[in-house]
Amino acid sequence: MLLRTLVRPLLLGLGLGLGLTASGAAPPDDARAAAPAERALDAEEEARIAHLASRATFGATPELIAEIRAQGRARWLARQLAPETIADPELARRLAIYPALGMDSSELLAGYPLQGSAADSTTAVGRPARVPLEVASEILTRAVHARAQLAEVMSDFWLNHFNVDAGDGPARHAIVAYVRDAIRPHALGRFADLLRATAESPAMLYYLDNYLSSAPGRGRGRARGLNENYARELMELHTLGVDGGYTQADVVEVARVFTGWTITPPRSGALEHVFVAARHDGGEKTVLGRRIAPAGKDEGLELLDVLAREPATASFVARKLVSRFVADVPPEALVARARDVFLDSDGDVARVVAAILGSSEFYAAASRRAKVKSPLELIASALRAARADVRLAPRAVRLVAALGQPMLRAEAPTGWPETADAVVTAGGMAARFDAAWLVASDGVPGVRVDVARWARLLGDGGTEALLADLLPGVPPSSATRAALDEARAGGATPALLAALVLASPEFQQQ
Amino acid sequence: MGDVRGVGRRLFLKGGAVAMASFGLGPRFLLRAASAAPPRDGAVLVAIFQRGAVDGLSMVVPHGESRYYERRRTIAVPRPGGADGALDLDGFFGLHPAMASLAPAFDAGELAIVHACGSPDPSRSHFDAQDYMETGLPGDRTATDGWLNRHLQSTPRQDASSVRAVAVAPQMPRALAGPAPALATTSLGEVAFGPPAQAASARAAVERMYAGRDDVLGAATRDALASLDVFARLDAEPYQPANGAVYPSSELGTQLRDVAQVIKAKVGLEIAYLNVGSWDTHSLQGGASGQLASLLRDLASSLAAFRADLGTELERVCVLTMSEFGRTLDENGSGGTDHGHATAMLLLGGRVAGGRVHGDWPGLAAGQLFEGRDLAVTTDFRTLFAEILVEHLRNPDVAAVFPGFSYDARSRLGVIA
Repeated sequence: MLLRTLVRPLLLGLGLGLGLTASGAAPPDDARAAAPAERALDAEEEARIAHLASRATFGATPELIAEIRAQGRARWLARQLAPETIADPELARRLAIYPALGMDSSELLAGYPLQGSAADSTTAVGRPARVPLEVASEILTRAVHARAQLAEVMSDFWLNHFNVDAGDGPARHAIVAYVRDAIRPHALGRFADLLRATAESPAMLYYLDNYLSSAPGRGRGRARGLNENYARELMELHTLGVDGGYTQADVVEVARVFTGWTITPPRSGALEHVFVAARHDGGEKTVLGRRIAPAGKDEGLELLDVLAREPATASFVARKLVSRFVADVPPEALVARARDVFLDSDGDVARVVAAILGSSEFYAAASRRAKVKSPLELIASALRAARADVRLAPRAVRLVAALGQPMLRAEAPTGWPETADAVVTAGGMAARFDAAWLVASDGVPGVRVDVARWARLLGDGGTEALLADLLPGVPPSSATRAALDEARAGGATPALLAALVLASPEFQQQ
Repeated sequence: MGDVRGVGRRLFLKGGAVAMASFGLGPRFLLRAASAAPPRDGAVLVAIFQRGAVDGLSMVVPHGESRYYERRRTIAVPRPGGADGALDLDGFFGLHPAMASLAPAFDAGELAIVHACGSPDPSRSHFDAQDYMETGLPGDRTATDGWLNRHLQSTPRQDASSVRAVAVAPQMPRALAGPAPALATTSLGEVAFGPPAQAASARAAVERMYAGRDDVLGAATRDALASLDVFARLDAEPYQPANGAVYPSSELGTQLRDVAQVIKAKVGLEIAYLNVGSWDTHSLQGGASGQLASLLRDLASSLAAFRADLGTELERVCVLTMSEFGRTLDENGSGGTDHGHATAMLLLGGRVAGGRVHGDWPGLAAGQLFEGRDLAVTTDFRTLFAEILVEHLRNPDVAAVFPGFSYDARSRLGVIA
C-alpha cells in the first residue's frame, strides 16, 4: 500500500522526536562535535524548522519539530502540500461522534429540523443551531489533532476568504457541505475549482442573497429582480479585490449573469443548488469589457473562470496568502513572485503556498514570530502544546469565541480580520490569559490535559524545560524567564507556571 | 444571566463573560482595589456604528416624496396617518413606526437627524466605506489611525488611570485605532486566572512579561490591567437603571446599559464606541414591519431607555449613529435594497439641536440621484463629526483630527445647540 510506505517515515520521525525531547531538545550528536561555523548553520536550520512548524501548522510541538528535522523541511512540506497522502485513522475516530458531518442536506434537514417543518420529531438529532457547532467542533478538533496540518491551515484561510455566516436560516445546515465539499477538497487545489465550488454552494448562495436574484419580471414572490450582493462581493472579496478595476456597471452585469443561480427551498426536504432558467436574464452581458453571450448557467461558469484567471485576482489572493504566512505588511517582492506562480500554474494553490513557504522572505529573521495568532490559532496551539486530548470540542469552541472571533459566525462578508492591530485588544488579551489557565489546568470540559506533566517537566529541568516544551525553538525574553522564575520562587503551582507560558507574549506569536 | 451584577462582571456580554459563567469559575485574576479618583464629568460621545449600511430612506422616511413610493412598491414605509404609517416629524420626513419609542425625544428637542449625510467617496464597498468613515479620511487607504484616536492624541490627559475611550467590541474599531490608549473589550471583568491564592502572583507575572514591550501585545495588556482597576470598582454593586428605564435585552440594549453605568460612575469616560450589525438588508427588508423594523425597534428602544436612564446626565452626553453608506432608492428584486450612497444619522443628547431634520434635501428625482440611482450626499460626514468635535467635545483642532478638511463656523450645521 502506498499509504503505509508514506506513513512509516512519519512514525519514525515521531519516535526520533520523543528521544530527542527527553534529552532536552538538544541538537543531534554530530552537530555538537561540529566546528563553530557548522554549529551556527545548525542553529539557523533549527530556527527555520521551528519557524516552519509554527506557521504551516496550528502550533509547534517538540514532536513536530523532530518530525520535520527527521524528514527535512522540503520533504515534510511536500507531504503536507499533498494531504491526501497522509492517512489519519485516529482523526476519523475523533470526528465520528459528530453525526452532522457525514449527512447530506436531506438528512440534515430531517435530523435538525427547522422550526415548524414537517420533519418527524422522533428522527431529530438536535436543533439547527447544533449543526454549525458540530462543524466548528470538527474544525477545532482537526486543528489540534490532524496530521495534515497545512491542509487545516489552508482550509481556515479559505473559509475566512470565502466567508459565510452560519448563524441563521438554511446557512446552518448548508455549512456542512460548504466546509466538507466546497472548501476542504480544494484547499490546496486549483483556485478556479474552489471559486466554482463556493459559487455553487447553497451556503454562499444563501448568505450573499443570490438565491433570490432574478431577471426583472422573471421571478416570483420575493425573487422578482436583481440582487447585487453576491456579484459585488465576488469581485471585491473573492477574486479581483476592491481595486481590481471593476465598476458599478460591472456589478450589475455580473448580477445579471448569476440570475437563476438559486437553491431548493428547505421545505422541499433538501438544500441543494439549482439553476432556474425561468429566472435567468437571457440578454447579453458585458463584464470588464468582455462580452458574455447568452448561455444560461454556463455564462456564470464562464465568468467564474474569467475572474479566476484575471491578474488582479492573482495579485489579490497572493497578497492575502503572503500576509497570512509571512507578515501583516507583506513583502512586495514576494507578493509579486507568488502572483506570478499563481498565474503560471493556473491558480494551483499548493504551488503558490510552496513558493511562499520556501521563500527567503518567509525565513527572514524579521518574519519570525512576526505574526500574532488569531483566536483559533491561539486556542488550537495551546491545546497542541498541552498535548490535549480533544474528545468533545464545543467548550473549546467557546473559548475561541471568548477571544473575539466566534467560529463560523463572522457576520460581514470580509470575514475576520487577520492582522495584529485588529486582532489584539485589551479584552482579547484578558480572554487569552483566561484560556491559558483553563487549558493548562485541565479546566476545559470535553478536553483532557495531563496536568501531572507540568510537575514532571519542572522536576526534570525547571522552568527552562517547561519553556522548551511549550515554546519549542523559541528563545524566551528575559522578562518572560524572570517572571516565570519569580512566580516559581513564590510558590506558583506547576499548572499556573504552564499557564503563564501559554499566556506569555511569545506564545501569542507565531 | 438575569442577576449578574455590575458592568465589570457582565461587561458587554458575548465572548468571555458567557464562557466564564458556563465554566463556573469563581476566583478572578487581576482585580485590585481601585484607587479613589476624583469624579470626572466632562462631555461624553457615544458613537454607534450601524455596520452593513442602514437604509436611511426607511429609517427617516421622506414621505413627502412620491418617488419614494413609486420606486419602492413593497417595502416603502406608508405615509403618516394610516396604520403602520411613518411618524411625521415635520410634514416631509417621518420616523419609521418601529421607532415610536424615540418620538418623545424628538418632540423634546433631544433628538436631531441629519439626512442625506455620507461620504464624498463613491465607494460601495462596506469595508472601504467603513474604513473611510472611521479614519475620517475618505479615499485614503493608507490611513491607519482613526478620527477619534486623533482626537485623543490632540487633547492628551495627564491622568492616565481613567478609562477615557472604550470600544464595546471584540476588535478595536478603526475609529479608535492609533497611538492614544483606548480599550476594546467585551468581557474584562470575567477574567479568571489561576487558583485564588495565587491571583496576585499571576497578575504580577503577566505584568512583568509584557512590561517592556512596545508592540500591540504590550499596549493591550497594559490597557487591560489598568482598566480592570476601574471596572473592579464598578463591579461592587448591582446596577439599577434610573427613572424606570427598561433596556431591551438585546446586545445593543445591554451595552448601552453598561455604558450608562460607566458614564454615571464619572470615571472619566469620554468616548464609548458601539457596533450594531445586520443592516445589510439585501433581501426581505420589510416595510413598516419585518427585518429592518426589528432592527430599528431595537435601536430606538435601546436609545430611549438610555435617555431615560441618564436623566439629567444626558446634558453632557451626545449619542451619534453612523453608517458607511445608505441603500438604493429602488427596491431590488428580493424585497431588499442594495448598496447606495447617502443615509441618515441620528443625534441624541441634552445639548443637541433636536426636533429638526438637518441638512439639505437633494431630492429623489432621476436627475437628483447620485449616479442615477442613490440618494446624493449633501452633508459630508466630516462636517457633522467636526461639529461634534468642536461644539460637544470642545476640541477646536479640526485640522489635527480631519487633516485636509476645511471646517469653519460657516460650515456648521447647527446640530449642537
